[in-house]
Amino acid sequence: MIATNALQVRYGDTIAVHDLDLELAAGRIYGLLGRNGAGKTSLLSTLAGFRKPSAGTVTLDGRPVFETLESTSRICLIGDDGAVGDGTDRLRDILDMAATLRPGFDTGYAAHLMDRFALDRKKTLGALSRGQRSAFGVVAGLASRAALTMFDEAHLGMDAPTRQLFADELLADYGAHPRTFLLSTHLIEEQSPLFEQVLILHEGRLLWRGDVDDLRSRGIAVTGPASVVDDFVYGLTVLAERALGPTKQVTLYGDLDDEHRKLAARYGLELGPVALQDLFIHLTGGVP
Amino acid sequence: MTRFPIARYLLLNHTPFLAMCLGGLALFGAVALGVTAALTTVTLSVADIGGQILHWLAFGYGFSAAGVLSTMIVHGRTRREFITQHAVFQVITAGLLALLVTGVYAAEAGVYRLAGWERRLQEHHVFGAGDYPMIFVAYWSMLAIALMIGAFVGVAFLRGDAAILWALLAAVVLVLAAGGVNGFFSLGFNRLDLESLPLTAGLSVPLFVAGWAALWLAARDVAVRTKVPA
Repeated sequence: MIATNALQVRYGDTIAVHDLDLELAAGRIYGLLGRNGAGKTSLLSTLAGFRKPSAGTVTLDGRPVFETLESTSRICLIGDDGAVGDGTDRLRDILDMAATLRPGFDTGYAAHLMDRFALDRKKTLGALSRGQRSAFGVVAGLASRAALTMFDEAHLGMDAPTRQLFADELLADYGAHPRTFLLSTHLIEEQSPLFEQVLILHEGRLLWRGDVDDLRSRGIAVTGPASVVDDFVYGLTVLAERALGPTKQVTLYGDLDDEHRKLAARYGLELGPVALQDLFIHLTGGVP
Repeated sequence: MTRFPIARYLLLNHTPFLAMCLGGLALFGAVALGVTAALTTVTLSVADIGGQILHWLAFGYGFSAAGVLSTMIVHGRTRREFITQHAVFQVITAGLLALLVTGVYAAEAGVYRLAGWERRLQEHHVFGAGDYPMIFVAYWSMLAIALMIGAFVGVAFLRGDAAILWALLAAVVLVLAAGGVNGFFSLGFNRLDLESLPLTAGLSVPLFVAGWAALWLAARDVAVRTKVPA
């Protein structure tokens, strides 16, 4: 289990993470959401020991993380630039290096992933495109088989099929070798099927944490004739509206009471689940 | 878990690369010598001139330690391991390269003798043309200290802000002090003219340790920012 206690990350006068208390049980896939500048990368860097906490503690199974080999060797953080070696190094040399440095690195699995992502082992890291570099970061991250593996926007630059491949491989390997994953992303709808729990970080504070279904149940979509929908949602918290001809869909925040549900049924309005992204935007202050 | 993985990785990958670079420099020196001999009279030791370049190349390579540190941390190692094992790598690699340079001096002596050329060394050196043990020690001292200075300056740049100024100041002091001890970058006012193998070797140790202390100060809690150069 990775835990933080009153964790604070500061850059001069700017506080990126405020007194964060967090406990993430092992063996689950967590999604870390937050707007730009919410403190996601600062939090992940500190969890991985890339950065010393300005205050508070980070522990893995009770041991401090920063400068503790027993902890850092069981943690892997892949950043958004896939920087897992020097730009002049060949990919095969970087994988050899990872096998030397990481006790649990699975060379065979890395070879399998290299083939799946169609990466040329003879190329240097600096010669890869942005998407290929991200894919190589994913290879190094998954093959590390670290007890806590974190990807910070590791899909940047990947095309849709490659992102799908990343998701498929992650789930397959998670099934075969259960461990903890923490994925930071802005692709909320696309990646949310991976998450068992979601953490929303906002302005350096943990705004919301819970199961994806719990988060989804905090909103409801109402679809029907525009004028009827407008009357129905009067006085409720509207997150988003979409109109298609005479039909309108409105996303509401919060659950509906029995009276509203009966009204919806009487007027033939359709009630359905909402997009996580709409809830996320609402919870983090709405569209600027 | 593999013992000393950072030192092992560096010694198996970076040391052969540096030895190849040295071989390339020696080859370039040999070509330059041939061209010089065809055009004019040879009077200077080409190995000796190349040694000056080696000094600055060692700084440059040492500077790249910041990137190595970042990579090691990304792969789950600690700063403490890096500080210790990079120093071990520096001492061993400097020794190996110094041995190769000494061999180049010996080979050059034979070539010059056969060709009947005059072979003058730069006068500020702490060794004579045939004093191979002293050539080895002077180069070992120069390479190890230059690698260490480059390393702590590089890590200070990773750290940023005031650390850079302190590191540059420490680097200047160490370069001048080391110049007095091993004869490289000798500016006159810092010349000690030791010409004693035990003294050069003995005084090199505290200078290397001082550089190591500066590396420790710069690296012990530095934040890692990863970036692949385009």
